[in-house]
Amino acid sequence: MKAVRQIAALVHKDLLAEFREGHALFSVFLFALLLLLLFHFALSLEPALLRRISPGLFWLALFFSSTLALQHSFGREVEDGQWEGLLLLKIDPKVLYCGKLLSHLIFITILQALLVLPMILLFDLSPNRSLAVVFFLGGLGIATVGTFYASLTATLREGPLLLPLLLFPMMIPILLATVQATELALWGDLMGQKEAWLKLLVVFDTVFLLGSLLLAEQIS
Amino acid sequence: MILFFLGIVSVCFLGFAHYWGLFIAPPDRMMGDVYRILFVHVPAAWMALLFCFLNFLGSILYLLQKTQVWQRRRVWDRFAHASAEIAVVMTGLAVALGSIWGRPTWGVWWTWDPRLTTTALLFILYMGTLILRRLLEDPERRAKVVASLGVLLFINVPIVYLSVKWWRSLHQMQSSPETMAPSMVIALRMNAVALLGVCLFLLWVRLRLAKKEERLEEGGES
Repeated sequence: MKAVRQIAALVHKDLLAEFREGHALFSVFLFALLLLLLFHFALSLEPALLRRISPGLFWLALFFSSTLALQHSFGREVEDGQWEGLLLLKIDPKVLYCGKLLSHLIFITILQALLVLPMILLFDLSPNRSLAVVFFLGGLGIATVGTFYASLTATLREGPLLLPLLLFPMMIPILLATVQATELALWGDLMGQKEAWLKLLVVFDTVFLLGSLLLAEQIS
Repeated sequence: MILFFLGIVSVCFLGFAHYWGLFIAPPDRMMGDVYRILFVHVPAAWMALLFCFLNFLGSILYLLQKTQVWQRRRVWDRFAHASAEIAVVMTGLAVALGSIWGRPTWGVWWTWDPRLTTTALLFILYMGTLILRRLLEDPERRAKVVASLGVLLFINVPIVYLSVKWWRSLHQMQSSPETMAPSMVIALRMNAVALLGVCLFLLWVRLRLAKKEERLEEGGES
């Protein structure tokens, strides 16, 4: 019960800092939007083909922009000495990890929701309700691994450089599974393959959530 | 002394195994002489996997050990570090040789196949931990952090492999000993044993070097 209250307090603190600043969420959203436009220029494909690969572009944009947000969130903690303060409070590292994970997950979910409209408009997509599961499982995976790696590199001067290098190779299963599941959800799943990808996501999320919780003490 | 002997014997044996692979084993029915690169490529890939596993083992033993004496604790950290470096060299070798072999056989230097992609990823992942190792200054925190990563990395390897495999696949299936000429099998096995000897020798050299580095590091502090 105490742990739940502590997690809630941590999430509250993070969200408060986020919304008081306000510009972080907005700039990250704009960056993701910009990425979608840049993909369009870089790939120079016809609209029909671009539409076909749009799920990949969406998740890639989400990967990059959420890592930016992660760096910002942890950077702020370390800069203001909040991180040391939190460690000094003698909170269980697991609780600290859960708090950061949850606030990052909320951030990602908001970002996903904000990006849905531009995706519909830019690529002429018609999303349906089954996408929600893919979004949630994908977001959870990104947040789980991301939070763990960010807390590793947060205190390093070279952290911003190192985080993407360490993090992105770990997230390849999420990228593959979410993109495939999104495509199948959008354009029909004749062979019933979506289940397998969702299962892979569930396995990934569970394994890394448990792993990160077990290892949380080692990295704080 | 015994290990130094192991080093010399393995290098000589590697030379002999290479000679066997190059001149005694018959050419392949389909690939001709090109296939001979597999006598290095396949053992290198095996060693890469083995040393990734040894890194995992070292990492997990470091995290699980009970003793609080730092001098004894760091033994497993040293072991994990040394095997990670060898794993990087061997994955690099396997990918490079595979690529050279792929050009005449598949017609391309690179193909997006599960095993290729996973091996290339292993290279990047373990390289990342080596970079991280250089950047963390406190030896105890460094050991903890890198060991945690070593565990997570290794857990991720089968998941990556599975996911890319579901996605698409081209790499040919392994040949089983029954489909190969006996002297090919011998050449492959001899090369594997020789390379294993070389890798173990390298591991030993690296462990000794690490011990000396640590003494230097501590000498600098006090």
